[in-house]
Amino acid sequence: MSPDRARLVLRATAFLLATAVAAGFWRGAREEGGPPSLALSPLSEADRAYDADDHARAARLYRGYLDLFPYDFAAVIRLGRCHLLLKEWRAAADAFERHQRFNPRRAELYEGLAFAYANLSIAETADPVAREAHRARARAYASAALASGARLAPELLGRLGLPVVAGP
Amino acid sequence: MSAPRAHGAFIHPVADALCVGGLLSLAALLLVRDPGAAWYRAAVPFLSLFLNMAHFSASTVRLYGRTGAGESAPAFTYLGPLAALAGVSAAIALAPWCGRAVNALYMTWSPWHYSLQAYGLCVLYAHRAGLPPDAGESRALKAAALFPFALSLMSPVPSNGFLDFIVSPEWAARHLPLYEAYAATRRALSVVAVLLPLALFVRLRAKGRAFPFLIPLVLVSNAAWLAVNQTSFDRWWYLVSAAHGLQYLFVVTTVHAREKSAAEGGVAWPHALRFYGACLLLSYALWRCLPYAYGWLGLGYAESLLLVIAAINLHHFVADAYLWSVRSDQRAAQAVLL
Repeated sequence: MSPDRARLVLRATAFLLATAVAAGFWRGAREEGGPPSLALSPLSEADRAYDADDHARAARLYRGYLDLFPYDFAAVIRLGRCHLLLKEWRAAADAFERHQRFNPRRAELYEGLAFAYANLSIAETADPVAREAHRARARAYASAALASGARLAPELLGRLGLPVVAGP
Repeated sequence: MSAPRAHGAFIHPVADALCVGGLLSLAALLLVRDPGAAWYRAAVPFLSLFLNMAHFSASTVRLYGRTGAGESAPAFTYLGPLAALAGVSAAIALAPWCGRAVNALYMTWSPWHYSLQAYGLCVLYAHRAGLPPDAGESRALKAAALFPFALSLMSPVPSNGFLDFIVSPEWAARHLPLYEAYAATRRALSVVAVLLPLALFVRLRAKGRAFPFLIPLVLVSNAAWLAVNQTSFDRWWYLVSAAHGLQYLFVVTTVHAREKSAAEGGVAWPHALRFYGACLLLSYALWRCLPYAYGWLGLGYAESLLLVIAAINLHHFVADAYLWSVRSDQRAAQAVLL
């Protein structure tokens, strides 16, 4: 490539970048209600959205963050809970299961999975075979959660036909 | 061009010791006993913008701001930004599949870059003091500088680097005695990494090679940064990266301002201010604005922000290696003597 053409490519890249930065500034200002802040990590923004009950935004931020940092167990749990609170049972089960291999044998993961599959079995009305499969998985995860020391809600245990453990 | 001075400092031995030698950062590490403290967490974004992110931009501003930019490596200078932009855009679009690997690349490369910067600064100070290291001394300095990097490969898991692709936290939990022995070895070697430069300095002095005290200071600080970083990555990373950024900004701003002042006349500090201002502006634009732009393409903000930061790091590592490579650019070699 000739030097003149290379310089032209650099100028075109600079123009593209400047346009993208201006568009980003405008979008950021609209989303944040002012010039983009100095937020360092999407995790703190996700936590803020979660605490403010903006579970849809929090879920988007946790999902993106976990693509790069899959071992962050607290973020996995919060992502799953966002979906549960949004009644997105399939997305909740997927979130917990996807990160299970990075964070195995955790009672909270099993608890979330049991809850998600129990609700999936209720939501499944068309296919009795699928409904029963979801219920079986919910029971298996609930048993695993109990074996890991979790204390599941009596309502969930009753719904799955598991013995309710009395509290202290 | 100034005559060599025994201390080799760029501005003043005390200023160099604080900013480049890392004394400020070591004091800060002692001061910030609790990295979870509210005041520290409030200071972190500013530390990151003014030191860490500004230092990434400094290599780009320097690359395009110096006289005769692009003459020695036109392909990298002219096509590098387009390649970086295309690469980061592809990584963001494919984040669920390749985001973790790109992040691991940057996390693993980072301590290598820190250690090579420490080695490069040692060579600069030796030259500036009029004591260019011979081949054996260069090898010893490089080994002392790279030892902390080798230790960083023994990070606790999860390390967020490539180690995670080999050793999982689950494996570590299943082999706890083995993992604890590994952790104890790493802690012991961290102490060796801090003491090694001091031993080397004493040995060189005994041989009659009076290298400036800034050399062991740079090496000890780098070893301490990488060692402390392993005790709690999440908590110390921002302080460590700010210290590394300050070290870089101090040298590159001084060299750039003096070079411009020598070429265009006048005093150096307005050039330094302009240079640093450009670094700050570019940092804010790339770090805080560009990630939002990917929202227009329907891509997620979280992965955009994290991967833009990874790309800024990776571009800096390559640009920096090119800028300060004495072999590839005699101008850089002359600049360090300004």
